[in-house]
Amino acid sequence: MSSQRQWTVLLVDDSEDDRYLFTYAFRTAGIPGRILESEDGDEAIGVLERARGPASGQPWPDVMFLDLKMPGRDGFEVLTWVKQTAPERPLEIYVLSGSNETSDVHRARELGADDYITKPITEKKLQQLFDGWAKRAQS
Amino acid sequence: MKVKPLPSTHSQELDAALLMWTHHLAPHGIFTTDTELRITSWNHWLERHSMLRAEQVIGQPLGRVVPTLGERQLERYFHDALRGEVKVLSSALHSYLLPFPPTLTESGFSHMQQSARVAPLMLEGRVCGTITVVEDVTEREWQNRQLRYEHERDELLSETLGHLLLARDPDALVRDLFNRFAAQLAVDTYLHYRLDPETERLHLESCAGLTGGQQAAASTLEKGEGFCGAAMLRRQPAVAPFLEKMVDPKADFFRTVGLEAFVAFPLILGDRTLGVLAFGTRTREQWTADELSFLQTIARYVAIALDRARQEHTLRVSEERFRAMAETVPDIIFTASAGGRFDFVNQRFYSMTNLAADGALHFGWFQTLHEDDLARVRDEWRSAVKSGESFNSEFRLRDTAGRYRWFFARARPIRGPQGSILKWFGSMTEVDELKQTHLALREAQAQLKEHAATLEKTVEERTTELRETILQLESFSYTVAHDLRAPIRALDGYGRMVLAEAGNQISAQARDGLDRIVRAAGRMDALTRDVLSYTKVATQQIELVPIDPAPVIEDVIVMNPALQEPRAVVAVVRPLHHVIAHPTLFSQCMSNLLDNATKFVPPGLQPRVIIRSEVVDAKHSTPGIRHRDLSGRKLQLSHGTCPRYVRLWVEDNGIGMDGLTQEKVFGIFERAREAKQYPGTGVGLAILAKAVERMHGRFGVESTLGAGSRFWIDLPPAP
Repeated sequence: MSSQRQWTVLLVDDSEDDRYLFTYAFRTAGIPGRILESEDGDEAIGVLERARGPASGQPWPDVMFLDLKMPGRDGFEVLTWVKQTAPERPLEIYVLSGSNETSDVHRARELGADDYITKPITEKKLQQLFDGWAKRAQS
Repeated sequence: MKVKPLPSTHSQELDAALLMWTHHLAPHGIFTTDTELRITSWNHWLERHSMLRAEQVIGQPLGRVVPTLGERQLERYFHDALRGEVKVLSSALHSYLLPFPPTLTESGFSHMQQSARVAPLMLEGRVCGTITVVEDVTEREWQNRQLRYEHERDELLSETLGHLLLARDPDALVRDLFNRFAAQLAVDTYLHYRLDPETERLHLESCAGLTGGQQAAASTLEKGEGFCGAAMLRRQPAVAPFLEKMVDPKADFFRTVGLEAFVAFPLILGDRTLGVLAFGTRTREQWTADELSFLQTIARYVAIALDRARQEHTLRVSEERFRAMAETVPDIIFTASAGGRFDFVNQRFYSMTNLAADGALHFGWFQTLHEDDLARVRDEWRSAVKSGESFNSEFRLRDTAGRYRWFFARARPIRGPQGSILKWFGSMTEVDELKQTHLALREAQAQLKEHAATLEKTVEERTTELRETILQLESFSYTVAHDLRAPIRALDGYGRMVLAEAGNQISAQARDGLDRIVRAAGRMDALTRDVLSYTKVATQQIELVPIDPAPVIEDVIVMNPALQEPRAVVAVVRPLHHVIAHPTLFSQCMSNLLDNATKFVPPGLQPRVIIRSEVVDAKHSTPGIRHRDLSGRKLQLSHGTCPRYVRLWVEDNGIGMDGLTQEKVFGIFERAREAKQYPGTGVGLAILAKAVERMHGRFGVESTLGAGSRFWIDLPPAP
């Protein structure tokens, strides 16, 4: 909130409830910016591919909140795709999963996730995250 | 030799010279007669051998000088000569013409052996008398006779040898032999002694030419007694000629028997001494070398024959003994020739089979073989006989009832000193019961093998099924974790949203209701999550590896702000001993322990946790050790598979537990009574218990109510 920066957030989750509650928390926290929603991994990769293309008019997201278990390509595959296909583009990736399996946590970190958040995400947690980014972006 | 032809003018000188040679120098006897057969000349040779001077015989009628001519019917030769015929008298036919003493004394001839030629004496074309030339052929005849004797002896010896070597009773043969050569050699007596090896006495086996009394006197000789004993002792022939003149007391007995010469030969073969064979003569004072050689040869042959006979006897005895023994054993015993023909089969074979006596001999035993075994066994036997290697075979023989019984047969060759096979010796042992058992066993084994294969297949199928089930279960768990929790989260999320959006517009009771919904949803989420964790810990496949606990614990702390200052102080006393564990399960254990340690603290108190490690003996019983299963029952304390453990202590300054709680706290859904006001599902320690168990470790707690708890887990030390 201290920053006027408009954040572009890519939210990838097959659960409509989770997307709704995330958006509610995001708004409640008063974080400036917009949320691009994808219902699964394939759709998310489509969004990212379009954004990568020249003069696509689609903004490259600053941060991605990524669910793991999804139909089609799951969160791990999206992670792998991003790290292999677009390593040059800065993108904070937060895994947002209902699972607190240690193995999932380890795997996500190995694949390059910046953090691992167990659902549900709270307004407070979101504020902390964005404050952190704003500070880093300024410095 | 060249002869110079003489000139005829010298004929008178020639006549004189010829007369001179004839009369004085000729090596023959030459005499002439007139037509009245009165002697007209008588040469020097004749004078010498007849001891009659020429003057004594000239003018005398031949019939008077040689009176035996008429009775020997030799006068007719002279009459033939007067008629103009030349006559030759062969020594072989007449031995001699003129009765002169023998020129060779040892020859044994009574007279000089002569050949003679009687021819007409011609003068001016008519017969005027006879001329006779006599030649001494004694030596020649003697040599001929010797040769003849030798030939006869050789024949006798070779014949003897043949007989001796075949004879069952060589002594009888000695008697027979003696009769055949006694006359020729002028041997009158023989004695055959047998040596008793124990007493070293000689016992008279047989003899000839002795009276009963003489035999009795000579029947036993002490060691070294008499010529025979001496020969035995010295292992040399004892030759005793001229017994009449001998002063040796040994000669006394033989003189009484009337012997002139005696010889005793020891019967020796290699280092075996068998006895003595002795000969004596009454007619001659000494033996010729030839005779001794002949008699010695006889003695040697007799020794060989005796030895062979004795060995045969021994063999016969041992064969009889073998057969007697063979009949007492329960097995079938057989012997076969080097060529493989059975030459003995014991009674057992015949009583077991239908074969008539001796029916098994040669190759007869093949008849009793099972037709399926016949060709094989015949080949095996043939091959063993050919190669000389042991025969080992199994086959069925038809018994008297027509039933086939299994036999195990083996045979070995018995070899002579040169290595050649003399005989085969073998046995057949009934193994019917054994074989049947063996067959049954083999069948059972086959079945078992088949069964095992089936079982293995079944196990494999089941394992596959099980693996699939586990996979399905894992997939199900994950689905549950994700999909079941999603609506719960939604419930929680929407509840909170409503509270936030409309909290101040609804009644306090409505707000409390919404609060309760949110809390219930939260509890349900936590429970679902923990139960899934527990299931996963219990079922997931794990691999145990050496790990350093310190960085894992560090990760757990870093990931959880509740474990970090200022909310809590977690101190790790480094270094920690390395352990064998599964990294995820271990991490989960530490996470759960630290959660508890920082959660159950009195309000307002900063949780302080110390983690340290030590090595403990597996057999060392620690107070407060706890082994529980899920329902909290005491588990048997096992010493585990390793002698030592690394014990990790997690000590807190929390609320502690009483004894009862300590006993139940590791069970699932068990919560400490003291912990009522603390959030929790009661699954955390159950997960820990399961995880530690799966890592082959142990766990426990020491605690005092109000004074903190000391949880520990034991894990195998890393090498």
